[in-house]
Amino acid sequence: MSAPEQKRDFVVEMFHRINRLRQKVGAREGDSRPGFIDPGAIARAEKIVENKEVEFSHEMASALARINDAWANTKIAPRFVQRLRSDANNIKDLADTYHYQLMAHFGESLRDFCEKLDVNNKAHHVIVQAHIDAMLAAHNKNIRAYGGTQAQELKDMVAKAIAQHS
Amino acid sequence: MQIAFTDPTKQEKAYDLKGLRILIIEDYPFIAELMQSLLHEMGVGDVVVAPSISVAKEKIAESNATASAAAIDAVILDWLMPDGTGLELLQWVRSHDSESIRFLPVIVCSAHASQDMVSQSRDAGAHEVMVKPVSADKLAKRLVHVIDKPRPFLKTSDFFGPDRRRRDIDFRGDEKRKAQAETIKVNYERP
Repeated sequence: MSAPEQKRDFVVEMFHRINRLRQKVGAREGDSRPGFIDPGAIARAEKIVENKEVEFSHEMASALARINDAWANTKIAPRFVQRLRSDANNIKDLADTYHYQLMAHFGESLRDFCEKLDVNNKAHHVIVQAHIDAMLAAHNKNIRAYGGTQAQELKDMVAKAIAQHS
Repeated sequence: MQIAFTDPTKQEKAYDLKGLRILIIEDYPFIAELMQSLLHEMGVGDVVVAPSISVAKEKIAESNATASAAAIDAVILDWLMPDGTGLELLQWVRSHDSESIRFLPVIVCSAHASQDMVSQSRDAGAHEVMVKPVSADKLAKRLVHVIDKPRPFLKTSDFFGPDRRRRDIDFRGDEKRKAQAETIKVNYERP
């Protein structure tokens, strides 16, 4: 570093790094064109997601059992609320992956409610329980779509709990 | 396996990912295994999973304490974890003493994709944000983007991470940036 540079007070430093990833994946040296991943491999990978759908029902049942446990624990020890929130988010994630829109909706709604959940407020217990009951019912009745009479009934049940106990 | 490709705007051969080591930070085993399988199928040689922020820190520190062939090349980070958020991990990575950790590419991946989350992750130094549900196509696109478009890192009084501006466009409005040319120091890494 030169002497005048040492004295200078830099506001921004910019770092240009060697692109080691590009070297590692075999991009041709000096060729700045973008690369790609083998489309056949991407298609095969996409098939893995589809093939795992047979595990959805069993996996969702396990996720619902976990969130039930997390809620039981949260009522005793509020520090478990992060676990409850994370489990609700995982239910949304799993449901979204296999296009179970109603389940994803309840998972997201419960996850967001966890941000303001006051475990000492009994009214909030009703709201959490309504979400869990709705998710269990959606799973037991295998309701996939967000619309439809049965889905609407479950959404109304949760909406009513929120309206009455918020 | 590399295949021939005829698109003249792209490299001639598909990227060979077998030399890459990718860390997935994901607490949900089903999704973690799914992502691991997708990456393996796409040819990634080594995919490591950490089920919590604390385990992820251990794995990164262990693998990337010094630059080596066994170092983790990129991280896929679930934003909402039982022991914290992705923000904590990003801050830890970007403030680390080791260059091999500080400059690590991080792709934030979340089912909780609010505007706040996107802003927070960008401002904490994430390279990319991927909204779940996860798919092979989305993963491949983010990965190729990280490989092909490594934005320079910027260090200011309140930020360290990849340049948040993605395009060089001619801006005609009032100048809001604080830095003048003489207060910008440019560092080029030497081979």
